Amino acid sequence: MKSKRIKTFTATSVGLLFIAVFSSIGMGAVIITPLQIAGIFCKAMGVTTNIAFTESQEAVMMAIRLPRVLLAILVGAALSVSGAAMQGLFRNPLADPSLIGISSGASLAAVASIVLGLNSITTLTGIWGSYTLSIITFAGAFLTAIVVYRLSQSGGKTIIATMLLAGIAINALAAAGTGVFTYAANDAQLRSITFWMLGSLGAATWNNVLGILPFTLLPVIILPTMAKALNAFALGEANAAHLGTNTERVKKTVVLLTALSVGATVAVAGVISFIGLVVPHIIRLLLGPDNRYLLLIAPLLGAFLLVSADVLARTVFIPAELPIGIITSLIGAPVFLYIVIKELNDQKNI
Amino acid sequence: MLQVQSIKYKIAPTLSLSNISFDVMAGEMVAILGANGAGKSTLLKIITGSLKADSGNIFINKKQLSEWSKNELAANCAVLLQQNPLQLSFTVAEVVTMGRYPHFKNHASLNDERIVLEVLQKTGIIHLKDRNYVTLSGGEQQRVHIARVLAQISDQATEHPRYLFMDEPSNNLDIRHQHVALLLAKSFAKESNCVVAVLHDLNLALQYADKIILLKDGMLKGFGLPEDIMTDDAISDVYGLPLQIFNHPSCRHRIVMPAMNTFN
Repeated sequence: MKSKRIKTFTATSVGLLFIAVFSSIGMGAVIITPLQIAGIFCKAMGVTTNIAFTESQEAVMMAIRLPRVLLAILVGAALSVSGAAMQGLFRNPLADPSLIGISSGASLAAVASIVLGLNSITTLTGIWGSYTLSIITFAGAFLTAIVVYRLSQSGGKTIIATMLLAGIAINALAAAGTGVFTYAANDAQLRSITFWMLGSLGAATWNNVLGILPFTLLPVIILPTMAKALNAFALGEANAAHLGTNTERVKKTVVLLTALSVGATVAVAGVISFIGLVVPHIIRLLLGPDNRYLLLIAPLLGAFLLVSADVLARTVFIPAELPIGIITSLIGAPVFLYIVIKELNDQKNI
Repeated sequence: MLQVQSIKYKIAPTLSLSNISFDVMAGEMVAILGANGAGKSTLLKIITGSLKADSGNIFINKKQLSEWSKNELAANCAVLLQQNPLQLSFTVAEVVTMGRYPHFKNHASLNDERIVLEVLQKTGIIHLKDRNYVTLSGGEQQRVHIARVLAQISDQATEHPRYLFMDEPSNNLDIRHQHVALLLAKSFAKESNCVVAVLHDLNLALQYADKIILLKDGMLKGFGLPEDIMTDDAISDVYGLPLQIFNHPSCRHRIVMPAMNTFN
C-alpha cells in the first residue's frame, strides 16, 4: 500500500516537473509552444523535424530559457536534498540551510570576495570563474555549517533553540558584514551584492550551469546512499552507533555535501531560502519521514517547485522580474511557522 | 561469553571506575546495581564500546571489543539506552524495523518483517504498529525501544551467544510492563545468550538476575550470585539506607524493603 503511494507520488513529481519545464521554456515575451520546444530540442540534438519555429524562438530557447530552466532544476534539486539530509543530521525538520545561516555564510563569503577582489572573477571568465566563486562560497557555507552543528549539539541531542538562535545570530552577522562591504562597494559591485542578497536565476548562462553541475549532482547522487544511516540518526547519535552506523563519517559527508551544494547554488543564484525546508516537509507529510524515500524524491519535487517559482518570478510583473528568493520566502515562511506550531503541539502531547 | 578485565576509567576528578572485572556466561542475566552516580551507566557505556576505558580489556566471544567491526558488533549486540531522542514522526513499526538495520542493506527482507511483527507481539504493542511514535506516552515509547533492541538480536540461533545491554529498562513502565520487559530479557538469556542490565529496582534484580554486579563510588563491591552478594548489610551500605531482605511469602524469590519507621 505504502509502496504504491510512493510510486504514485514519484510519478506525479516527474510529471509536474515536465509540465513546469515546458511552461518555463515556453512562457515569456517570446512564446514557444511545447511542440516547437520539442522541434528546437531535436535540432540541437542533430535530428531534423518538420516542426516550424523562428530563428528568434530558437535563439531565446537555446541561449536564455534552457540554461535558466536547467539552473533552476539543479539549484532546486540540490537545495532540497541537502535540506532533507541536514534535517536528518540535526534530527529536526526545521534545519534548513538558509534558516540556520549556512546560505548567509556562503553569500557573505561571495560578497566579501567581490568587494575585496579576492577572487579573479573579473579576469577569470567562463567556467573557471564559476568554479572559483563556487569554492569561495563553499568555504563560507562549510565554516558556518560546522559552527552551527557544534553549537547545537549537547550530549548527543540537538538543542533546537540553540540551532535556530545560532542561525539568527549568523544571519545577523552576515547581514552586518554585507552592510559593511556595501559601504566599500562601487556601483557595479552593489548590483552584484543585491543579487546575492535576494536570490535570482537571472544570471543563468551555460557556463553557470556547467559550473555548478558537479557540485549539485554529487549531493543528489551521494546523499540518498546515507538514507538508512540518517534514519538511525533520528534515534540519537549513540543509538545510531549501536545500530552499526559510522556516525563520524555520516556527519562529515552530510556537512560537506550540503556545504558543497549550498555554496555552489549561492555562487550562481544567491540566497534562495526555504526550498530546503518546504520540499522535505511536503514529502514527510505525504509519505512519512523515512529518508530512503525522502532523499530520492526531494530532488524531483525541489526541481519542480523552483522551476515553477521561476515561472512566477518572470511572468507576474512582466517585463520586470521578481527575485525568486522573494517568492520562495513567501511560500516558505508560512510553512515554517506551521511546522513550529505543530512541533509545539506535539511536545505538549507527550 | 563477555569478559571484562580490570577496567579503569576516570569519570570525574573524584570519581573513577577502578579494577572492575567480571564474566557473563552464555545463558546468564546479570544486573548492575548501585546508588545514583556510582558509575553504572558509565560502566555499561564502556562494555558496549561507546566509551573507551583508560585501561583494561573487554572480550566479546573471546574477541577484543575494539577488533569488532561496527556492523558485526551491531548484528550481535543490542543496547537499550536511557535517552532515545526521537522527534521525527516515524511509525512504531518503522522504529522497530530500525533494529533490523544491521541485517539488511536497503530494504527489510521478509525474515526481517517477520521478526518485527514477532517482537511487536511479544512486547504487546502490535496494536500501536502504525501509530506515530511522537504521539505515544513515555511508557509506550519505552516499549517501542525494547521491541527495537529485541528485533536487533532476534535471529536464527548462531553458535555464539548474542548480547543485550539495557540501561534502566523499566523506565516509565507500569508494574506489569516492567515484568514483561524483564521476562523477555530473561527468556532471551535462556536461549544461551547474555543480558546485562542496569537496574534501579532491587526487587526486579532479586527476581530476575542470575548474577549481580554491585557498584559503590566506582568500585566493585561485589560480583556473584544474588544470595551471596545481596545481603542486608551490603545493600544497606551501598544505598546508604537501612534495607532488609525477606523471603516472599508465596513465591520462591526474595524481596527487599526499607527497614525504618516513617512519621506516624
